[in-house]
Order: sequence, then structure tokens, then C-alpha cells
Amino acid sequence: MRPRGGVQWTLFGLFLVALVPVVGERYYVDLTTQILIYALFALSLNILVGYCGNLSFGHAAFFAIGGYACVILTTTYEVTLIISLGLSVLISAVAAAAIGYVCVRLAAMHFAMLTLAFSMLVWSIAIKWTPVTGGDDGFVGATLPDLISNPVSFFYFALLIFSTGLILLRVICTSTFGRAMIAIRENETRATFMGMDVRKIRLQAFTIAGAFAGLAGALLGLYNRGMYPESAFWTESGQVLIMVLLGGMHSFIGPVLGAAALYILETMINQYTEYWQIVLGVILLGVVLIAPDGLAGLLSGFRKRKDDSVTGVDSE
Amino acid sequence: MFGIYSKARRVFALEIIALVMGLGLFSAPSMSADTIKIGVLLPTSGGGASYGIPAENGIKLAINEINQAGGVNGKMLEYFIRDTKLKPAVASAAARELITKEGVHVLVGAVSSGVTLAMSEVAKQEKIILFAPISKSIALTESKFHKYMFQSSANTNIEGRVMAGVMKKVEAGKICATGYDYAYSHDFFASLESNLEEGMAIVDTFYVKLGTKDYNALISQLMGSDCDTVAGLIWGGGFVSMVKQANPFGLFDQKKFVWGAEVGSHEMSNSLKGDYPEGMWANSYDLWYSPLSDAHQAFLDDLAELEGQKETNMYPVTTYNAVKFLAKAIEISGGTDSDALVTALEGMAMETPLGPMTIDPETHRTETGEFWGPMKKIEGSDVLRMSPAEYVY
Repeated sequence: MRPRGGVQWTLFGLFLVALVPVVGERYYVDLTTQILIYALFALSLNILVGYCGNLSFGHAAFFAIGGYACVILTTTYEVTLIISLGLSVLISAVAAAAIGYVCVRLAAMHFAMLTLAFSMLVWSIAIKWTPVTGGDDGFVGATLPDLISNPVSFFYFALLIFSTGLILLRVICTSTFGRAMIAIRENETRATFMGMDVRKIRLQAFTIAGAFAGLAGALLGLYNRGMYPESAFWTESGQVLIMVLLGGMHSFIGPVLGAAALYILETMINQYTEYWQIVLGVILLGVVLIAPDGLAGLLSGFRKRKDDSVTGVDSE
Repeated sequence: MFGIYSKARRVFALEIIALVMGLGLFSAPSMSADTIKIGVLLPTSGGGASYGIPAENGIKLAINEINQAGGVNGKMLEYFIRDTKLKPAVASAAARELITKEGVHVLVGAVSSGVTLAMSEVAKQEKIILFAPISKSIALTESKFHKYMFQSSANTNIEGRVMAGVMKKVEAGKICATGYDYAYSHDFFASLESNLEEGMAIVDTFYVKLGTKDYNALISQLMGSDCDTVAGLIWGGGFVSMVKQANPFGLFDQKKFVWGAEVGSHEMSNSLKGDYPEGMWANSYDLWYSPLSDAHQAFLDDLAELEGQKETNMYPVTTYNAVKFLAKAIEISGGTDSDALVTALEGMAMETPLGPMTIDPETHRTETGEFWGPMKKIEGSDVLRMSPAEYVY
């Protein structure tokens, strides 16, 4: 979970991403912004799936709650952007704590099913609470401060939020709390006998994951100038789960790679063929078969083989 | 030693490939400089594909016709289609990609109103025209209206008003309304209610969840209601399921039925064949067997050739008209500047296969009509047809 030289590579990666508006065209600025949003969403889910070992099928609920909260606060109540963002994270965290309080009492598939049920409950509220959420049509026409209304300025705003989220999540994952989550994932019974309050740690992980998903959702709402019920639907939870699995759930940075790969693949294949689902399915199948540990596992495998070849160690 | 170098080279080669792919990602997109580009956003996969794929045929037909006649102001038209997957966020991202990468000059789409509203927000930000030929939500050109938004579909105001006229014809009396529980049904029934003449009223409303497959509860509710006529809006595969589940109970023999949402199309009657409730009043954007004029017949013939079947779909005419409006606006304005196109489109009148259409300069809407009539069995065919079919605004 702590790749060699990981911090330097991450900082280098963020530096390269920051250059996109300088070297790339407008399209790549938009594409990278969207990837950053989904990467933060995937990182938040990995707290649950990769670190705590809890498979959630309802993570999109907090993504949508954060998104709706942010656009409603900025537009309907004309709350300033920073306060709206902070409140969106807070509301998502409170919702996650409330839902998590019930869910963490269950394990494995029952936990996954309950998260799915709560997610669909949130989706139903988004559909039915028309005066507030816009109902089936969604909340359209969110207002943005002039400072970030330009695509490039919004890109740097998203990069700033993403980087902050990435650093905070990294600190959490490498802390004692992060180690406790891994211990629970590896052997819950042993963790209990070691004196850990497993249910409490799982609830804390659930709340943290929900809060960061809410932050990603708030960014999406601002980016799209609106939020839609589909963001809470189970398919959205499924998509972010695929991002985590594709990138590698046993790597901190894996979900970022997974989000980038899946988003680029979906976007690019859709540009070339109407049968994008078949092509995407074949590619994903290939990746999963070749790299069961995800793209992060594949990359670390390449690096290991390269190191071995330079030092003369035959790994075959 | 050779083996070591071989592996090192393999790794190096992979790095080179990755680098080239990365550079490719950042290279300038391929663009045809001398064409007029139309960005099309339709659902071409999943549940919406049955709408999106026929709608694309209308785009193809219009563009083929225009290009064969020499294009617009000497420039050929080309279109770029993206799958909305019926998701607003996906459609927004695709619309941005079409504008910023492909450099499209106008947008056409989508099917679901929620998706089109999301695209409309992109069109507003990017100052590019969005022409909506299918989405019916009145919000597109009312509460969420902006100058770059145009709508040529039969919106809920028109459809509700026309259905009120049909209710008068069938002497509806007490009406129960049923549809999916979302904006389209709510707005439609509000329009219907406000247009009903004296002596007719909606006495019961039964909404069902969008996409539901089990209609048993609804069937019981409709059978239990003392209404004389049912006004329905369940569409697509849901309508097919509902009819098949209701037939064994004899629901359609008990009351009069007037159904909107284009269930009178050939696609729908062909899906149900003998199960289609005879006598039900229904509507459709287009009917292959009911040409209104020589121009309409010529359109149907060309479409039949493109689709490879004489029983053509109803959606192509909607997107065909949208492209024709946009091409005429480009011709008049002499270019693709969005503001000039808006000026050209406002108040534009055009002869379409279904008759004259005019874009209201204030609302940016057209008064699009639809075929309405009772569905009847035709000798020699198990597919019901609308007879007589009347084209009404």
C-alpha cells in the first residue's frame, strides 16, 4: 500500500496534470477535470473497499448528496462557494454516519445489499423531492462564482480540491487508523482480539469515505452546473467500483489510475463506435485477466521486472 | 546477457508506446476544416436505443439529401454522434467533447427531457445552439429557457391540449389518468386538465414507477375506478408489458382508452400485433401508411430505402426536420456563428414532410402536430393501424 517513492511520483504526477491547460487544448482541460472528480470519488470508495475490506454498492448515495447539497446551497440559498463546499462535505459525512451506523452492524454481502438499499432510497428522494432537487429533471442551472466559471480556472480549482483530498486521504491511510483498517480487512476476528473496536473503526471509515465522496459530488455538481438523480443510482456505484477494481484496490493510487483509464476508455470508444459497450467489455476483461491486481499492480510488476533486468536478476 | 537486454528492450519499447499514446492524446484532433459539423446526442445503447437509433436515421437522411444537393453554401454537412446512455452527466460531458474536440457548430438531441435539460446547460455556457426534436418537457423553453435553446417536439402543452380535443370526440366523461411518475406525465396531465371542456374531469390519477414491469396493481386500480375513460402515458416497453398483463382481465373492454406518448406508432403496434387493444385512441409522430402529401410520401420512400423496410419508424421525421431547420439557418446567416443562427431561426418558416412549421421567435418552439386516431385491425395483417388517422396540432 506504500509504493516506493510514492510521494515523489504523486507530486510529479500532480505537476504534470497542472500543465494540461498549458500544453493541451480545451478538450483535454475538460476531460482532465472530469477525471479528477471521478478519481477523488474512486479514492473515497477505496477507503471502504481497499483498506477496510467492505464492499459497498451504495457509495453513489454520498456522491449525490454532496452534489445536490452544494448546488442547492450555492444556487437556491446563495451561500458562498467555500461554505457550500464545507457544508456539502459535512452533510455527506452526517448522512454517511447515519447510514453507516446501521450498515456496519452487518458484514460482507448483507452490508453490500444494505448500502445498495440506502443508495436507492437517496435516489428516490432525489426523484420525489421535486421542489428542492428538481425531481426527475434534476437540479439544473447551478450558479458559480465568476472566479471559477472559466474552464481553466475551474480545472485548477478542481485540481486544488483533488490534491487536498488526495493528501488528506493519504495521511489517513498511512496513519495508525489506516493500519487498523487494514488489520480489520485482513482478519476481523484477530483485530477484535487485539482490542480494536471493529464496528467503530468501520463506521469511521464509512463516514470518511462518505465525506470525500460528497466532496467529489460537490465538484461534479459545480462542473455540470447541475445535479441529476442518476448520480445516486446503483449503476453509478457500480461504475466507481469498477474504477477501483480496474486501478487496483490494494494500492493507494490505484483508484486514480482506474478512474482515469475507465473514463478515457468510455469517452474515446464512444467517439469511434456506437458499440462501445462490447469494445469496453473486451478491454476490461483483458485487463482483469492480465492484471488481477489492477493497473497499479501491472505497473509495479513492470517496474519490478525492469529493476530485475537492470540488476541481472532473472525473474522468469 | 542477451536475455537481460531483451527484457530491458521490451520494457523500453512499452515505455515508448506509452509515451507515443500519451502524445497522441495531446495532439490536435483531426478536423475537416471545410465541413459544417452537427453534434448529435442520442441514446444508442440500452433502453433508449429503440428511440435513438431510428432518430439517427432522420439525421442521416437529411444530411444525405443536403449533401447530394451540393451542401450548404458550398460546404458539406457531417455529423458526430455520441451515446447519452440516458444519463444527464454523460450527455453533458459528451456535449462538451463534441464542442471542444470535434468542433461541432450546432447540437441536436436528446430523447429524455432530463438529459436534454443537462445538455441545454452546456449549450448555454458554450453559446451554441441546441435543437431538441424529441424531448417534450416544457421546461426546456420555459423555466430553463435561454436564447440558444430550440424545441421542435410536440411538447406537453401541445400534446395535452390535443388529447383534450380527442377526449371531447370520444365523450370521455369521467377520466382516470395514468403514467410514469415523472415530469412528463405531471406536466401533460396538468395541460390536459386545463384544456378539458365542461362535463369532463380527471377523477383519479394513478402513477407508476418509471421503468416498472409489474402492472397488476395499476390494472386493479383502473378496473376498480368508476371512470369512463382512461388517459394513459405509459410508453415504450412498459406499454407493451402493461397491455399484455391487462388483456387477460378484459380491462380494455370495460372503458374507453386514449393513450398519448406515441404508442400509436408502427413500432408499438408491430410489437404487440394481435394483443394491441382495438379501438384505443393513440398518437404517433409519423405513420408510414398515412402520407399527408406527395412530399411526405417522397420522404417516406427515401426513409424506407435507408431503413431497408417499407414500415418506417416514426422518430426520423423529428430529427430530419431539425437538421433541415439548422441547414436553412446556416444558409441564411451565411456561416455558423451561433448568434447569427439564432437570429435566422427565430420566426423561421419551413415546409416539412408533415406540412409547414414555424419557429416562434419568442418561445423558440414550433407547433408540431401528431397523428391521432383509433387503432383498428386491418384485413390481411395482424398489425393494427390507426384508422382514420388525423394529423392535428
